[in-house]
Amino acid sequence: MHGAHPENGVSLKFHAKLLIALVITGTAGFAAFGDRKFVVPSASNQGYAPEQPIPFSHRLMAGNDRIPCLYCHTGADKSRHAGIPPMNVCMNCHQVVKADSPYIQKLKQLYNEKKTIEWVRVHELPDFVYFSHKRHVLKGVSCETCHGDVARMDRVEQVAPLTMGWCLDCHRGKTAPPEVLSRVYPNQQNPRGPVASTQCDTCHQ
Amino acid sequence: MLRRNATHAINKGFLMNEKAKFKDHVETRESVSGLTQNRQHRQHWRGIEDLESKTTCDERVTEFDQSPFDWIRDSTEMARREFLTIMGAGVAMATFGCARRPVHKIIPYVIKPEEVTPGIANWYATTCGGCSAACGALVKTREGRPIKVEGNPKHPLNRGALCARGQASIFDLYDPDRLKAPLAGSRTGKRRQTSWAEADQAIQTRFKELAAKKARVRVLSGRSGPASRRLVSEFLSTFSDGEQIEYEPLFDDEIVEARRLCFGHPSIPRYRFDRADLVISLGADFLGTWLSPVEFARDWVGGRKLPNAPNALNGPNALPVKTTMTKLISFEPTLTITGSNADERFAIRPGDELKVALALAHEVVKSAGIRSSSSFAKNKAIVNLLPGYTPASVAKEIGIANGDLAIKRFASSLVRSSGRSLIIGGGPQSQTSNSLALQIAINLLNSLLGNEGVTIESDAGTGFADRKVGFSAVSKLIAEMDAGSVDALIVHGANPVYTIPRLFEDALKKVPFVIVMSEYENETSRHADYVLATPHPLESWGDAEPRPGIRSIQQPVIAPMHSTRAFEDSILLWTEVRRPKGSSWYDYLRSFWKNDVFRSDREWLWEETLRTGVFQSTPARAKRVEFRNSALDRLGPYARTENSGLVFSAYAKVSILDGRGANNVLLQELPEPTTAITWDNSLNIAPSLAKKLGVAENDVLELSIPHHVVELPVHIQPGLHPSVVSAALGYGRRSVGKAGDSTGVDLYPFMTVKGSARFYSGQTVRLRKTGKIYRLASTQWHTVAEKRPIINDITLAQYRKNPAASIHTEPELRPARPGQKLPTLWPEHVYQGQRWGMTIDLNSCIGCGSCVIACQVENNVPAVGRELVRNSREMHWLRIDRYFSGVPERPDVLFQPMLCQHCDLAPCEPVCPVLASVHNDEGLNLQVYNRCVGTRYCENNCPYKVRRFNFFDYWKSYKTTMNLAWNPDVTVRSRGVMEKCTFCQHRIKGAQDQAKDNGKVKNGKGYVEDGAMKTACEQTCPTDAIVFGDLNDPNSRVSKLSRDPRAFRVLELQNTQPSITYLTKVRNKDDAHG
Repeated sequence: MHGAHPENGVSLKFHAKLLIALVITGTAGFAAFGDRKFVVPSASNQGYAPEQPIPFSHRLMAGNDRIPCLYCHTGADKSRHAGIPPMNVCMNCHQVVKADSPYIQKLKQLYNEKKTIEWVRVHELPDFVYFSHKRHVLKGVSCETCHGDVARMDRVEQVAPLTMGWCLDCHRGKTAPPEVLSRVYPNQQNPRGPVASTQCDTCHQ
Repeated sequence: MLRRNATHAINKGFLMNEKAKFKDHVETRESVSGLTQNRQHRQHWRGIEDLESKTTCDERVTEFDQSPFDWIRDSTEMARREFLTIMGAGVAMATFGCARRPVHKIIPYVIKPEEVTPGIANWYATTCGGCSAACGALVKTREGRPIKVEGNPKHPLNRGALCARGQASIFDLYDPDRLKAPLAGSRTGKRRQTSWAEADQAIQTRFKELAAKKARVRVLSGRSGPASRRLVSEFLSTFSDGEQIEYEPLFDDEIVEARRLCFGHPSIPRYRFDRADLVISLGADFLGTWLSPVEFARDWVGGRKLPNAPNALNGPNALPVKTTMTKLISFEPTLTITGSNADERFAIRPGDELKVALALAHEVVKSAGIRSSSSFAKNKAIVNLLPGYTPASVAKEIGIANGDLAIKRFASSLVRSSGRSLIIGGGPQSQTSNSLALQIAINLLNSLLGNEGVTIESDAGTGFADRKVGFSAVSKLIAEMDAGSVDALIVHGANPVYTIPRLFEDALKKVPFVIVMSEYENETSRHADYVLATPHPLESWGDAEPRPGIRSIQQPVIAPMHSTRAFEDSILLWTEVRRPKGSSWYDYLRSFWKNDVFRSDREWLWEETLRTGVFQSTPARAKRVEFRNSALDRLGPYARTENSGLVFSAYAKVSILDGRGANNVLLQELPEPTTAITWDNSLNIAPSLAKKLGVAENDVLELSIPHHVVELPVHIQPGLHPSVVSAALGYGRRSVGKAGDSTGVDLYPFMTVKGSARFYSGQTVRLRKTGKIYRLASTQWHTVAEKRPIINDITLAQYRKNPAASIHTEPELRPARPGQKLPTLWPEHVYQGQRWGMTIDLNSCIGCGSCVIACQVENNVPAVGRELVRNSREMHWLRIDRYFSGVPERPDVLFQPMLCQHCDLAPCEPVCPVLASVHNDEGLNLQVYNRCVGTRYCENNCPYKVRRFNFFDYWKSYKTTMNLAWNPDVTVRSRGVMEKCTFCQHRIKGAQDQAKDNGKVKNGKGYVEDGAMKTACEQTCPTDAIVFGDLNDPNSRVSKLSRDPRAFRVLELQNTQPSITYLTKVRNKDDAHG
């Protein structure tokens, strides 16, 4: 284990250091990526919970008041976009409800000026991806499957990574919710298998 | 060394032998081994260079440049050092490029309209504004903005189809060069933006003054709808002398005048191509640009289709089901798509159509005989004039070899098909001083043959008795203006300073008050006091009456995008024309329809018309009209000398038409079907003339007539008469916008004006070499056939003997027949569900190019500009290849739409290093854009060369309003990504989605019924040449058609197993009824 001369090549001590470094990196890497639950931060917006112009609270609306998702997000079972409710849907109630709140007053003012609130978009897929809310909703996928427990969120947060691999896990049946599995495989006791298309053009159109 | 040389010599010898064999095999008609009598393979060539063997890949510019420095040197003269500097900077910037996704807003409606659901399209019926034919259109809108214009299936004129101009009209709506606000002071040189209030104030004051005194007010418009015309006449009645003149540059004055002389009814009749077994066109491009091309193509093609015949190879006595075809004969000065689709075509000089008509009349009279009691028998013209026009003398004068036999043959065919033939003429390319006589002669022929009332319906056409239309009306206007007697002129929908050069401009200067209402600034608006911005037809109300009995409604599909006001709204505002103050054009239109069209106040009629787009009433019964012999006094005598010298023919392109499409990038980039040239007009000359003059392609020649000189680059065009040169109208615009200005050369100044008549063609011209070169952006050689057997065509006689006569590949080399499989490296695809395929009937394809534009609009395919087209980088997913066969002087023309063949054994799939090019379970070859890294190996490997690469971020050049034209269902590709036809996969998915909603599910997927979904190209085709559907369904249209004996696949030898089957073109070289 003498330190070898430089002209003989790389020393054995260096070899040892290199081996240790590789093992540590490998373990860390496995911890990070091995079980495939952790996604590199720059690859998704998971955890993104931006501040909105009006602190609209789903916990109040969907949780407390139990307003169904489709009352506001009317496109969810009709089109590829679920949509954000137009101002007139808000004003359905807020013409009279909680008129004293400064936020409601701001809402009213914007509505009367024929302007909208510019919400900050939380869940967004790239332009080259085609995702149809309608197909998923009609198949029985509940909103919480992908959007999490929105009824408990004061501020909307993206809890799912929304990466292609995450979507494919469900399409391949690995993480598909039981209600979907039982619809696709109604005759099986423990339904298991792919629940949706994994053809490239299903999403990349 | 010696050994190597010897081996080399042996190899060379061996190769030479093989080459020689191959040469024989391909090039001679009576082929050597293997081909039997039936499989006569004609040699097809793509242009003159092919015949001169100058076409190999090396010599043509392709996207595979030899060196990356080639394009730099050509375009910018950048030095090598600069290039490396920029590359270095690029690398440095890329390393700092990672950042978090930017914040995006999501913006809802304030009050969402009930009918709008974001993500779901709404369709509205309106009238297309692409030209004055007024076809019905269905416009697809997303979130309140139109993204696609398609033909309205319920409209009797176009029945669901639309031409290239109609498809491209969406880009005119979103053109950033549109006028966004009214202007004032253009003619004084102090052009400035103004407000509507200010303009109205000045205009209303002026009109009040004029109404008070004896004033002469004129309105010059394009062809107008009935309600608009009524409103204008009410407006003009407030002045002591008011008139509306309608002027379209391509309007056939002579047809109207001739019908007035011959039948007492100035009109453009309804032509029934669906009733004619034999059509002889004397110069009229009815499939491309004449009158109502979509309607005519739809009618005409019915007789050209040869529907599925049982496979005659199944037995020697099995006869095909249908073996008759109608026949089209064309005499024309320049090669148009009508001539290309003709079974027999003759190139003549403009003006000689009259001689052909008279020779035909001579023969018809001679062979059919005229009863001595008939009024014709003693007519001076018949007795004195016709006998001199023997076919032999005419054929000699007009320079057609064996023309006398041809004319005799046609005449006897005409007589045999009396009442089932149709002779037509017209259009700018053959408009000469002989044109009025030509139309009279045509009317005579059609009357003699009993066609009047059958294939030509006078009462079913549009009458112009109560309207001032055409050049005769405009020339009267010019005279009035010149005399200084016109006090005010309003111009709308017309551009006379451009289309009637010099004359109109000079006269216009003498009119004290000029208002121009237009969507763009144009050559005429430069001389206006006020230029009022009008909305695009997609933003306007209106109506049209293409024929008596058909009323089309035009409704806005988007709120006006700019500060514009409709022409009719302006008129209503300036004078309260017996209407309650404040009523709009919409109100006027509704009351007009209530009182004049429906003649009823039932609301549902209006609603129903808006829903379907058209209101039909019983058309007038076509009655036979009596030919007036007095008209024949207008005929002859004519100079019978042979014309010497070069004659000019001006024609209209299917894309630009009379110039209205000049600022539309899609139309500018559509390769002209017959010349394959984009972005410019060229001087087309015949190959023999080119040889005589010693000019080559792209040489710039000076073309001159006594008072005008222009310079144009040369294009050598097979099929032209050796003493005719032709060029397209509509170019050289001066004030319309970025795309139109300075593109091409203006040829309107070449027109001849004689009294109240105007002729576009027939001028004697001189040519002079300039020594300059201008590289035309031609797409001709962007793909090279290299004499491979790509396409074939046969005659009807051959088809009758054996419907499979078209197959030009050896049986053992045809792997794609059912039951025949060649061994392959790859496992076979198994399609359990639906499997998509397509058939393209080359008998039906007329080469009009509307599929190309439809695909571009539907799939967000960008236009790239002239320079990039020169570098072979045009992005069209679907192209129309043009092939010739025969001799350059009289070629047969063949069009073939070429698109991604969605091969089963696609050569592009195994070579993609990142698997961006994959196959799906329905037979489609997919391109996953975000996966693609831009290796371009797939493009290299594709034998059909249908893959297009995004060399630059073309989407970035779609600035401001043009971004609204994108189809949100299709990804917009950025730089570095390959793209190609996807068989409108987003439409397939949409149809499957709908099928699932309706409960039609098979194997977990929505099952799309045959015909429930059409690809964009299939949807718009006027002749239904393209059929798309499920090949796994044996009863689908596409399955049946692909089993037709005429079916072949392109480059079957390569064993790519394409999903697209072509049906060989059959030409009717026999006489009608064969």
